[in-house]
Amino acid sequence: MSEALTPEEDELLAKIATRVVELRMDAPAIFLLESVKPLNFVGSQAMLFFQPIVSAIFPAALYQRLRALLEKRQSIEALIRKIEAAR
Amino acid sequence: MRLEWVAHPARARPGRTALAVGVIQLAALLAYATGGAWLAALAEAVLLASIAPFLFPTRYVLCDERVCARRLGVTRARRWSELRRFQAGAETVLLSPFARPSWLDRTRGLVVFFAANERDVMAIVRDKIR
Repeated sequence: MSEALTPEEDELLAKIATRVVELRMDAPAIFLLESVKPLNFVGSQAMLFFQPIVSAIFPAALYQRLRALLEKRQSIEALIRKIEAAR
Repeated sequence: MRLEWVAHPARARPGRTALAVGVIQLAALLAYATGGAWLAALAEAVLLASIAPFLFPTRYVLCDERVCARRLGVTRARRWSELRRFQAGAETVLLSPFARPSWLDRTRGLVVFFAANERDVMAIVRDKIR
């Protein structure tokens, strides 16, 4: 749960951050992520629960990568910092 | 380079501390009268948390790579490279990761209290955040 982010995960977070800033949703996104930061592991388990349903609609590989990323405690803080850097 | 100190504004200003504690107790009393013990405890906890930087001692460490603030066992650290702006006040300096003023400054930035070392702190801050 506290293992370091891999370069692929880092790249994925950077892509998400860039997209968030392009959409000018950086401030609401940071506010939301700060609010849910303590719940990241619970969120990953909820994603696991809904995986069979969601995988029918969205690409399963990306969904699994996001879920695995969310299991790491520092992932939300890393995303917030990438959004700040991309602003 | 390393600068380390403990700032405890409540000890330095007993008048303001007494006022803050009085307001918190009054709010808790009102909450108890209207909503019961749980609401009073909640009100007290929220108010204490909101002025924790004033009430409780904070250990600051400024080193080459980062700035750290440790209070009540919780450490917050930011790399200098992540910080883009500072805003100095009479007793504090705000270190923000945002280039322009933002309503998220207080949440994402670090408020550093001086302890009679304003010159040293500001020299480092000016050197690190350009």
